Amino acid sequence: MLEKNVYESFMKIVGERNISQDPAVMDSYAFQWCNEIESAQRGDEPQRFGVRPLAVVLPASTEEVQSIVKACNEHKVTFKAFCTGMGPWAGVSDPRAIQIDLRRMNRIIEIDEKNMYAVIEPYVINAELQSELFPYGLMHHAQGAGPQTSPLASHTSFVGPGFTSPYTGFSGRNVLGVEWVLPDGEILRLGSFDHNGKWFTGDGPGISLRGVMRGWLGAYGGLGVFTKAAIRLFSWPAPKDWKWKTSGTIPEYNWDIPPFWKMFVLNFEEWEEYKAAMYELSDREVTMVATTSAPEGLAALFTNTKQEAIETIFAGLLAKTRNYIVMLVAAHTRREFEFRTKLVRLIMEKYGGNDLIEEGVTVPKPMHYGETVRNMLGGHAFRFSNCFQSTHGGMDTIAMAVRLAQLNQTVKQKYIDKGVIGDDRGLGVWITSYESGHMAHMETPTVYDPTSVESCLGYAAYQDECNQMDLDEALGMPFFIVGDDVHNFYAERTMHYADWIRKIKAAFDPNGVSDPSHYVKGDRKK
Amino acid sequence: MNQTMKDAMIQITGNDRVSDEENVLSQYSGNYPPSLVVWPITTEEVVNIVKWANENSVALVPTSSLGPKLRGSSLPKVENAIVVDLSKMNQILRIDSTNKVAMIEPGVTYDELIHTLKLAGLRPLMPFLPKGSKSVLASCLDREPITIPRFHWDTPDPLLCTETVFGTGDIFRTGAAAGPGTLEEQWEAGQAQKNPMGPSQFDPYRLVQGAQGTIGIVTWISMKCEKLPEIQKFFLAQADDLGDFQEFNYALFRRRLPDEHFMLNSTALSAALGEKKLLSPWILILGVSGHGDIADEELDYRIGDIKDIARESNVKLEENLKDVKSSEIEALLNRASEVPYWKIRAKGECQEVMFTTTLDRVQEFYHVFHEVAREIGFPLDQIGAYVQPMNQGTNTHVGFDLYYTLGEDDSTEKVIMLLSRGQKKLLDEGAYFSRPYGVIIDAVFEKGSPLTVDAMKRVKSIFDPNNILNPGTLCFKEVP
Repeated sequence: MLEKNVYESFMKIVGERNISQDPAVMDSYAFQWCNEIESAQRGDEPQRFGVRPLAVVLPASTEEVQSIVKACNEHKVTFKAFCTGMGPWAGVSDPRAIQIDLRRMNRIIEIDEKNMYAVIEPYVINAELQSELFPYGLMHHAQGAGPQTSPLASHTSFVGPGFTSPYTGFSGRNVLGVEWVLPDGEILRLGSFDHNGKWFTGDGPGISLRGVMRGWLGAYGGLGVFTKAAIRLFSWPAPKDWKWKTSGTIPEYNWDIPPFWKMFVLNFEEWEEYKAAMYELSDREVTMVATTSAPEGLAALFTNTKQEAIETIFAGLLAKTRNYIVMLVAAHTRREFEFRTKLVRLIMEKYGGNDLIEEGVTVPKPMHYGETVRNMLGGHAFRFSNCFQSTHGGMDTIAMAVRLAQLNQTVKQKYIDKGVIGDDRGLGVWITSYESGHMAHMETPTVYDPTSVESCLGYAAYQDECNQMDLDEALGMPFFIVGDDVHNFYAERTMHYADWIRKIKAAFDPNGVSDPSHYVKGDRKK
Repeated sequence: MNQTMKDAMIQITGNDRVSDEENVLSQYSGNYPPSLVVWPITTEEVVNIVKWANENSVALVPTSSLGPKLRGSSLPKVENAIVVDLSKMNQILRIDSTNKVAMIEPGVTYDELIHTLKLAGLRPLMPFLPKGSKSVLASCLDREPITIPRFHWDTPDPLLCTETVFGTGDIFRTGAAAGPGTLEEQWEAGQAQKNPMGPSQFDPYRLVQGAQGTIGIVTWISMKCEKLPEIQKFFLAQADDLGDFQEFNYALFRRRLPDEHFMLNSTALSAALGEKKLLSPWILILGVSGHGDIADEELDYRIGDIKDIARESNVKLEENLKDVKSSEIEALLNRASEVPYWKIRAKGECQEVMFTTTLDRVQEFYHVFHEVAREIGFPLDQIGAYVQPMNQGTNTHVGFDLYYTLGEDDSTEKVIMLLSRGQKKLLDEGAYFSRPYGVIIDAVFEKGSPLTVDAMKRVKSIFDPNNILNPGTLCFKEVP
């Protein structure tokens, strides 16, 4: 329990209705997806609950967040900001910590239609923002975690791939102006907003403080609280008079596909042909989506129930699927559509591919087009065992992504043979390209049973082996190389980068109150 | 001290690459002349120079481009500095056409890079008609805008990874280049130093870029390139007011249809072409291209859609204007300026003003600046303007060039006054000087919150704790 005077100091800031230390409420924050994996990786018994916060506070404004952070500094209480929360990194690690739940800060502050950016608060979710943007013919880069999650969290604090990445890029590169409550309670405003109240860039004057904000992975909430962010927007490729229309009931709902949209699943016998096609399709800017997985992944994408997915796998996907790219041509005009679809077919033929949709091997329904752009498809992977997590994640070129996929197969198969993770014959990967093919990343979604100690331990061991492989084979840095111990393991062979991050932490969080568990502590670890 | 300094530098680089000759030093003279110029050719030499400077509290001013230097950011602002001239590190280290990337040292210039990239089927993402001696690496570090907004995804583009010697003397590779693995091992694994972010949970490339040499000395970078088009066409349009292009421009940003996309006023275009042309006040320039298979069909679809948008927004696109052919414009692109630099050629001297805003406010700022020029008596037809959309249209670089001749009609005094009063007026009206140079710097940092300066100083104290790198620049006034 927090001391009475400390609890009351927080209560004074947010009011009695917006603070709690009820154990049941605290448990709801401590229960996070993948806690069982992190605890297993630490060498503990797999635990589905993380550390319970001592209190949860729900501020309604930046000023309230600032007061809370200042009170944390004064009373030596650690804090962790929480938006939509999905993973151990959303929870606290210190026994003397509070959770700052930002759910009351849920406003879309501004949509600048012409200059294509939106200013959002932390608890705006992808689905809401998307709905508000459609009337303007705009969309944002929504991260793969799904429509129920916070785009601010992804843009400011976490890795940010999504299904539309070839067209909308990566969260961390789409950030403009930012309002940021630093760990010492000062409010920093990045870029143009600090000078003229407009959010159109977050860089300068001179150096860009985005350089200490997040990096590639994001600081996972280890360096203060982001209270507003401007993010870039993109054209929604549909005619002006097209309306978002659905009918029916989830999971079998209907969705009106915009007129110049067409999905392809281009299948290539060998990785080499796949790779050449992926480079060319991405470079030519013909696709909004360029995603690769295993036959099981394809089944998960374009079905609505576990049973349907399994039936689809055995009805032909296993036999007829090799290395494929799910592509979505989404054009603004007929002229653009005809050019792009023609080019897609030419590239497919050039590299000896076939279209699994045209051949009836897989049949996405209209709703699956909608699920794709809503970034709902990642959630489909939970159907098999109620849980999955990804290993690897290194981001650089398409060639590296393919090499990772190839090398991963035998490692994964070893754990499949042990019966601790789902059997996808080691083929289960997820690849996407970014920014017209300039970058790509590969991760390996892997299903495990979160209720089985053996499965959790097995998955954890598999992830550790993947991390080691990436180090040894120069295959980039995986997604979850965070926290002091893991950083130490990686930084030794990566230019001791963590020493610099520790200096940043010390400079901006002198009292060490911003939860460092998935970032770094400010002092250098011996 | 100077002899000690010279001996130390000679020990690091050898006798041939150190100079304290008056005529050499004068070329690098800023507020003060440097005491010495040194030309390292390896990263190790740079490290040794930085370590020595730390031990001896001597300021270093890194530079890569040869003159003329219009902005003065790489000239000494304190006494007794050493200029570290990286122009002799001039290797193109690697070109990877599959991954559309080049790795280059500081001394590589645009013409050399363009030529070498062409052989690999690539072209650089580059600014409009840079000076022939401009270092490509310095241009990327300066956040110089590129002419193709649809390939400008994030502010740092086309900069990707770097090798940087921080002010502490530590070598660090930024982005994916940090590892794991050596560069050779990364190439073997299929990597190409494409991911600029990180490593991990910070983005040092965003700190080194825009720093004007105050955070680290960069010894190579990787940079985004694009495939050479098979076929290209250029279009021009004229208007009295930028507002006439507004609807058209914003529609194009959404669609990402053209490659080159920017606007010049008639003064700037005449200066670039090297002769006075009869033109409307503003000229819009579009380049459209087709690549690879069915390149001609790609060109047709892009042009077709662009023309539809032009019709809907009442913009008349033409391949040739009465006084300017699109082939003349094409000849200005994807190359460096001839000598003398086109901005100098116009009237013998040039001073630059640059800031960032959104496209819908550019005309307003143009009027504001003209108003101040009119009050001062600086000729309006000697103000060139360049409007370059960035970040796929989310924001816009605006550059005003003041062409003048030394000793002509008090022009120097008027330029000094216009730089001071005009920029201050722009700042007051909301122009954002994201890359501040010269007299406006202090006002820019005073305009923002003191916390921004404080945060920047905290960063500086991590990477250059003894303030040896280019002291007196930006908000970093402390000296070694």
